[in-house]
Amino acid sequence: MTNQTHASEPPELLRVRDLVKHYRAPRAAQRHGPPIVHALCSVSFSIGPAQTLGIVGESGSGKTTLLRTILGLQKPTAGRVLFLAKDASQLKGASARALQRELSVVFQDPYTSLDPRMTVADILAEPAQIHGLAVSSRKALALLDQVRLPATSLRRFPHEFSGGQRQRIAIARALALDPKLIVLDEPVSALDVSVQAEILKLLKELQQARQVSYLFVAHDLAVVADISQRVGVMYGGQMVELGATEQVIADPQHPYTRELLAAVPVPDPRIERAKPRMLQRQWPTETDNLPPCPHGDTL
Amino acid sequence: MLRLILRRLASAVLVLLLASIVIFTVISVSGDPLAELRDRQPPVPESVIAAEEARLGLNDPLPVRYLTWLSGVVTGNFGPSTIANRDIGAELGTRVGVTLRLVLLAIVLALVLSLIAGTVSALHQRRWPDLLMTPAAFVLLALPSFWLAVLLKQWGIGLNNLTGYQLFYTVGEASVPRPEGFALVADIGGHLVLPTIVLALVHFATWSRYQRTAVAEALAADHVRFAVLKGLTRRRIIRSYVVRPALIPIVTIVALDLPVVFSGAVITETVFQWRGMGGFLLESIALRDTNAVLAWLLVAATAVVVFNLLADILYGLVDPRVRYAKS
Amino acid sequence: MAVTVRRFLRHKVGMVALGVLLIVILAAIIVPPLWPYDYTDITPQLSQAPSVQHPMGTDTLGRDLFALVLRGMQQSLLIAFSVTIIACIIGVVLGVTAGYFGSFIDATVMRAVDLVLTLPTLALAAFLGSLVTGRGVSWLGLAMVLGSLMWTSVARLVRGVVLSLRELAFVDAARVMGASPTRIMFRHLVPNVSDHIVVAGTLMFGVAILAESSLSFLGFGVQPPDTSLGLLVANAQSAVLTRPWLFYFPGLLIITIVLSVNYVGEGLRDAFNPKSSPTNPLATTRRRSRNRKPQMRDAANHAVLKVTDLSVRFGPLEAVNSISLEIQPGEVVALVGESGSGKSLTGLSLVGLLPSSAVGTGSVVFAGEELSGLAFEQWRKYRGRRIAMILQDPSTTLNPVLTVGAQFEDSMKLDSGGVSRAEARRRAVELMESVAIKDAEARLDQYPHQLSGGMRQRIAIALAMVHDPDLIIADEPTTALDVTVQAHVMATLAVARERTGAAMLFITHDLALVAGIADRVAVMHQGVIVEESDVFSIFDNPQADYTKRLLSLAPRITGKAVEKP
Repeated sequence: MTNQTHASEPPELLRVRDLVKHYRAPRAAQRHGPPIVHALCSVSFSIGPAQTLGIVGESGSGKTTLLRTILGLQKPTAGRVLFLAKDASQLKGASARALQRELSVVFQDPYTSLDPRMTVADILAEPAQIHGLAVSSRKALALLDQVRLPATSLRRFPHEFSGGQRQRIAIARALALDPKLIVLDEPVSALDVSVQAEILKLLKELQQARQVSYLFVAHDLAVVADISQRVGVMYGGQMVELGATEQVIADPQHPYTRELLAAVPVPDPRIERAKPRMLQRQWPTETDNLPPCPHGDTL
Repeated sequence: MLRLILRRLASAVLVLLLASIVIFTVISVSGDPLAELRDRQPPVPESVIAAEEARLGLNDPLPVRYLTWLSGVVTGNFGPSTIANRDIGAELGTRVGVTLRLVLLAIVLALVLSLIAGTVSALHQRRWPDLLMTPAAFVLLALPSFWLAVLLKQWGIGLNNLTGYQLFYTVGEASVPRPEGFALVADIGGHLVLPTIVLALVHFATWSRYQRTAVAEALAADHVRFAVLKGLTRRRIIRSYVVRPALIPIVTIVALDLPVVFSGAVITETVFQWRGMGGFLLESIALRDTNAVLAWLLVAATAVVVFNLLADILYGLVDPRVRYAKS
Repeated sequence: MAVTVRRFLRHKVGMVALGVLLIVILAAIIVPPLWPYDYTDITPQLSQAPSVQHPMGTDTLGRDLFALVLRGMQQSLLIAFSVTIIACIIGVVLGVTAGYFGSFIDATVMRAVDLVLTLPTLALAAFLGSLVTGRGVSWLGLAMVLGSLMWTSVARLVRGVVLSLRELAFVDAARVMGASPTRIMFRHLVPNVSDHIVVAGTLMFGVAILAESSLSFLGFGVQPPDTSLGLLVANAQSAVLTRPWLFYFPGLLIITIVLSVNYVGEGLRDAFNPKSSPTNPLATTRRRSRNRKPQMRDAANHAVLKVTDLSVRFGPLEAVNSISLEIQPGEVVALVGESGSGKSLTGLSLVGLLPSSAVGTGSVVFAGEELSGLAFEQWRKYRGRRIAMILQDPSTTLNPVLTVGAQFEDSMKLDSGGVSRAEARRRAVELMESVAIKDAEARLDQYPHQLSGGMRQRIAIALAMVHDPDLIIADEPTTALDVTVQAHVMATLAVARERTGAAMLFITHDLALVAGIADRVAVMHQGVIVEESDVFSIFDNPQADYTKRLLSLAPRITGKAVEKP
């Protein structure tokens, strides 16, 4: 089902192995459905250095759970997340902190991802403060410069900036400790198209300059394809497709990927008008055509 | 729905049990029912104090005393009083009814008035009904209930004196001796007028503000805009799209405020010299009759829990999201 | 912070209330040492009415009421202040801890709150108050009793705010950076709840004054020979008619203090969280088109909608700048623009639902009839029947407390009488099935929260079809949905349009999305239509720079990704 690419496997930066996350369903839902909801069902993939893996999926596909598990905000039911060949959940103290420095995040909503009560200077200094490192305004200025914001931004508050500018601040903060991997959770979906393009361009340039890897999660296949070398498609808690971007787009294997591709609007009236009208899902909607989830009945 | 009610009932019993533990502990640890006896001059003989301690069961450890007390409560025996020959249960029993009719009437009155006033106010934001009602609510919010009670009582007396007729009843919950038959109902109703106004006004102030906020929020909601766009009549929109969703918050607020209503009732009854729960409580506190205070708190807590249960059920009726999520 | 202070300084009522409060507090502190009488002094003038010598008169023992009132104020303010501090500290600590950690800690704290909320606090306070004051423990004991019973409201509030803050990304961001819970709580959460705490604390101060005076009134608060405002009222109970000054002065002072406190609280609330002007889509009249020209019926023009020189202004800000637009019967026109372009305001002004702070001018002619300046009842001839609108967020457009069936029925019974219930249901099922909603019959008895977002939007579309309108306005109908669901909803819209034969105004930020549905496209930028032409020209040969930019910047899948090395 998955068309793995072997070109860029070793050396691995992040390896996710058989990740499973179950929730106990609310009691009301249990009467109609299974008692256990599979948010993640045996998901595996890896990311190499200076590489971008894009993950697409609709709401409820498990992509948010996956991301939160990788970030350590949630514990998996089973499976492991190995970052730099270490399992962060097994580490404590200094080694855990050292690993933390190599991983950072940019969230979707630039209006909530920055503390409204902090100045930009405070926001950019926070990662270093938390890790007990030296805080300097020269460092902060360098970060602002990298995301193309003026030095005068330092003393201002988040609400004084536009959505795109705030996302730049969030990216600057993510870069503060020079991490090896940045997790990007729908980083452009709250932005206007023109701003989206600027942010995507900035991200690509930063990757070139700093050899950082991205895990880029979004619901928009076009955006994901634009920035990623490899793409994974999630549906119903499973990674139904994973492969090189060109390959996934040119030759999608899973019916969901095909539907997703067909659903992305094309800016060409002739193509759009020729498309068959999809009033509802074209293939069985339930997850019953997916392979059964391992550990399905245990919690 | 039945499931919802049963589950709420079970949790209500649990809350009540916990409340009884807290009440018992706080009251037993802090209050010494024999303080007055010990301080008496000339000193009371040790043996008398010891006998009194034994009668009130003060020598047992706290958990034992709690269990003894609780098993008594279940059978309607609220324990010995510091006052000889006082049957706490019986006395409280006659007073609960008196207070409940005041509390219930005031809640209904305040609720109806605040639903109307809050809704009208929100529908005419920054126009005259609102510009009149908002400051009025603020003044009412600032009125101490005891001051308002005294004021109305004395004005009632003044008016009675001025006209020479008994226009308002200002003392007690019923006339002594009690009239018979329909006259009794009228008499009780007459005695209820002023205290109910006091108690209702104080809560009207808070609740109408909440209702105004809730309706204002409902008005700004997308589904109201959509209803307008569907071309519905104003009446239909206000009734089913604005007021009904806005009932959900007010039910919660009223349920939360019930203990405050009881507190208010204590003050109102005191001013109007009712022989209700308020007077019972104040007497018992003054006399250090801890078991009586305990009984009072337990009865009040029970009333609050029962009201909350009703509110929960009402909540389920008003809001399908609750009904479907929890039943 | 500076903004908040400035906003409060502009809040007239709040400033007046603050002034009154400051005068009262200062008087309570400064005046007593200067005043010739102490509150314990007994003068030979018994029960005197107010005079120059005794501005508030004297009581039955000959004590100067002004001195007594000053002392009472000192006591009340001191106790209320301490109560507020104690309650806020307990409430904030418990609220933040419960809200941040959740699960077991939260459950415990909330059960404690529930318990305290079950008890009539006045009764418990009276009992405990009688113990502390009986032993001469004075104001601090009383403050501690009240404080320990009044923290629940602060705890509930703070917990609620923290619970919603905790969901915000900046808290997650801090956790990913490795911040400790203590750091998150004190560096991120507490500063962000501080405005709520300030407002709640202010209002609590007022409640504390009332609580203390009630307690003193009942005889379980401040004890003689000391005095408080509540005690003074209690002593004057029977004197309302004979020596009214004894009753009114202390009482009115309590009212003044609490009223000022509440207005200061209200002012602070407004300053922290400025209210937008009230939204009321039911309002009878709208401020609109002062320079409205009578529209001549143009025989040659059969446009279903003709917009001329439409402008929307927020004060000096021109959000929509004199745009004109025509839609022919059965035609689909797309209005495309990014956020802030004025496209949604344009849509709202077409149906007379501009926010009340906005002023719209210009003319909107629908099927030859001028719409601007209509009253609510006149609008009802058009809304729903001839112009239908579909809004952006399907999770909020349906009434949460009515079943889907009831909402269809409402739409069908616009006038009294109308269709029967069974007939309404039959037609609703038919409409829903026409837009490919499965199990339509069963859906009728469901509530909106039981449906998915895509389903809700399809029901909204079916609702729009009820009266076979001449014009359907769809305002970003797919923005809140997933891409595949978006495709379904777009197909549904196309079906709806074909079945009703309606013209459509499709408002969106996504240019590519309209390629399949629009006949004509108008591109809007900063309140102006920068380009308008048929759909093929727009995509093949865009004229305006802005349109070109939009087309070139949008990431697309076809070709490019496949060609990537």
